[in-house]
Amino acid sequence: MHRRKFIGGIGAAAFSTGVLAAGKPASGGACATPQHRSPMELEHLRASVDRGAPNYELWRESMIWQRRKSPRYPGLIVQVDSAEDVAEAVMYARKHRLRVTTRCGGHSASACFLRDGGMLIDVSRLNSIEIDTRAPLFNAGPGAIAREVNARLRQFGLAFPTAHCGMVPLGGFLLGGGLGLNGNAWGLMSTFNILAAQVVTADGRIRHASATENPDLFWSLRGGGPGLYGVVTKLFLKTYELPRAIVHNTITFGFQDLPDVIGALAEIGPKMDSDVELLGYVGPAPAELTAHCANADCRRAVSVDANAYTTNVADSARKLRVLTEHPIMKRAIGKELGSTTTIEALYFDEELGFSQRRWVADNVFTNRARDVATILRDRMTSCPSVDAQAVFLYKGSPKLPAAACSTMGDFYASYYVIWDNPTEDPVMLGYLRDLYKEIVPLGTGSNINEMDQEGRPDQINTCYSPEAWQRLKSLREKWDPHGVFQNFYGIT
Amino acid sequence: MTASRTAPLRCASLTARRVTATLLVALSLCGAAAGSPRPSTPRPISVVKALYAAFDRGDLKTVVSLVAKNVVWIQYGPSRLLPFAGVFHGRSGVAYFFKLVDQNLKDVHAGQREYIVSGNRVIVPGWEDSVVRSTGGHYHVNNVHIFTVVNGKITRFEEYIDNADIAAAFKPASVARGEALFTTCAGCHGDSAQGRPAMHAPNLTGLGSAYLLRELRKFRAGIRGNASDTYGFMMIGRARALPGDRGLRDVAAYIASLPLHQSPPSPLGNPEHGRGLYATHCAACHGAHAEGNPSLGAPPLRQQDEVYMWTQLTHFRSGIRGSNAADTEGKQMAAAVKPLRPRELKDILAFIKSQ
Repeated sequence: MHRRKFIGGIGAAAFSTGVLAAGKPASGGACATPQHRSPMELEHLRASVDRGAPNYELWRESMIWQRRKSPRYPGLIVQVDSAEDVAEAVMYARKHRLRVTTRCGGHSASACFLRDGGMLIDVSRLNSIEIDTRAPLFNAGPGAIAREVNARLRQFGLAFPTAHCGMVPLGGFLLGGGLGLNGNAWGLMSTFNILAAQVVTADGRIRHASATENPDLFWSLRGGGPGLYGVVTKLFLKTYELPRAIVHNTITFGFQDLPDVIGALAEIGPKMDSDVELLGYVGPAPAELTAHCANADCRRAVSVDANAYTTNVADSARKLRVLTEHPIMKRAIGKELGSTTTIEALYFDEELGFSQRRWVADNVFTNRARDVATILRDRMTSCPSVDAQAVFLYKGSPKLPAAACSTMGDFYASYYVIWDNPTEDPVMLGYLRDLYKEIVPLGTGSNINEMDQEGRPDQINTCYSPEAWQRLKSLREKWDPHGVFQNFYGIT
Repeated sequence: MTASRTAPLRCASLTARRVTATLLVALSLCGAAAGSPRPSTPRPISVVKALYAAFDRGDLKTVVSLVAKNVVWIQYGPSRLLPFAGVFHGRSGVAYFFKLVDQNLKDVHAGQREYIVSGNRVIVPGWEDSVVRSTGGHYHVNNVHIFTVVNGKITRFEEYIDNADIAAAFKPASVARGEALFTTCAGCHGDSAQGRPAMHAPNLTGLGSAYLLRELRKFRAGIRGNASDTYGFMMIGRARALPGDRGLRDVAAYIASLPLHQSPPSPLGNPEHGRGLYATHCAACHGAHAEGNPSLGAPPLRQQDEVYMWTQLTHFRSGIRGSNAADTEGKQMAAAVKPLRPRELKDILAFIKSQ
């Protein structure tokens, strides 16, 4: 059975990429003698490339993970190896009035870190991972990548709710909220697993932020994402006991059943244990199932995935019974029940459907998932991308801890348009933007990480509660009175 | 106007060098034959097809016999970027054109997609696949040939070709460009390309740019990395995201410039048991001490992560790697590994890591 190609980690906001073993490059390598232009004050940094440098465009394009390279041009791109490097870069930017943005893996759906002019700081090499097995806690640079984080933690029987895609680093994913693995049991949103952080603020100081130290900065970074007034250089994070097994169920339905399937998930979700990740997925139909499809559009199928993260494999059947005994199961055209999987296998499963191509994404949290599904049933058949995918992740409108991350709903409904040909950009972008004009009114807000910030910059405030949005604005004036850091995309 | 579709005609057997050498000889033969009575005038499309067919089988005598004495041979493009671009007159001009081609290109392949006939002109959309001698740059581009045929002889030839990709292939690999592009590789392979076992990404240092480029090209073409090869599959997207073949060459040059990193051994087998097995099955290509042999395209192994090599050997053994018909070296490895048992492979790896 071909499993879903959920792209949960697709939009890791402004950060992403990198991994372990930070440190200056060894002498003698090409990187020791950079051939790009560099302001003298920053020459000792690993790389600083201004817009006139011969290879500027390669550096700029390398900042963006996907192949659609948004046409915005920072004045200076800086690559750093330490928090001290970040502090120096921020001081330089402050002195020269360059407004700062930050990237890590560049997975942001909108490349929101790319602005015209200013300084882009690449923190992908801040990627160390240190595990305190007694606590158990760990700290990691923003560039630590999901796959390595869980591979390392696994050695100690631990796990962390990274993005679903194993290639997404922690930084942008966590700072923008983060819909992570086993999210409803592991912190609601992954950002709430941040216990503290090291942050370089607008004055160039390296500060510690936690619930007790600089608490308003701590409040900001748990969800403030690309609108944060500082550069996070280290994260102190909670861990969870590694599940003994992840029991995986996939049930496939015909595309026309989409509204009824999502309606069924709305009934099932509240009865499901929180450690069962429940989601509906719409994507290209597995070839072996197209024979069962009697609908006009046989190219797509709907699947329900239920992943039980359990320490008791025998108990998983009970956990999943609320799904397997629901009447919607009578309409299933394919079933894979009770197989066990691993976090590593889940990563690869997501990545199969998510290679480096051109893409754009958008999302809403919604309490009207069935209505959103009805729109998709009617509109998805005209999507110009055959590889488009949609996800309905059950969240159940939990009450969130106090933090900038403040938008929620019963479901997280996201849509990903994926294609190859640059000349199709306007058609693909146009389709998604028209679609979300219909979907947004059904939402309670959006998640900043996978929001189409380029397409609807005037609605970025809907990624936050009105109170949180106002507080972010006030705290920005406190922490960054001179505007060293760029504001959210679209806000000058 | 008529149009016909033919299977691409490969010129694999005919290198540019052979074209030139034979052409120069054939020109004199043609000159001797000039003025011979012609029983009938062939149709233009027949002349053009005959020319391609002659190319395909390396029959330069026929190629030259099909070109008029006063032929005008035009390769469009800026000569400052393309050394063989320009207007060439007569058979000597055509010979000079092929000489320039030979000086600059190797492994020249070409094919024709269809033949469009308009009066005495034949228009042929096709493709060309070549390697630039000076840079190793590879290109595969579309082209259009326009032939004018008068009295059974080609009097005019024009070639329109995707010059941008060819010009890129003439650019030498740049370490500085590769440094920028390596940003997209460091996440898995490490900031110094030292490899990251937890990411299942091998140590890339010490492998040399030729080997790195060869494997990157395989990933980009989908020759290596099928869906059963979990982490190899992921490399397809990464290789395709690099900007063209030039980007592959740049990043390979950068990685090759980095200091050698020795990945620590993992205790998989017994090095003494592996010594003889290595000498019998591996040393001929990879060297007596697993130092590699660039002339055979065999990479050094002793610096590589042992678990990564074990994974690759099991993939060769199971056919996950080395089963693609175009993966020449992979097929060799698959054949070499086949007679060896898993225990023996682990002992060989232990020997390699002891070197």
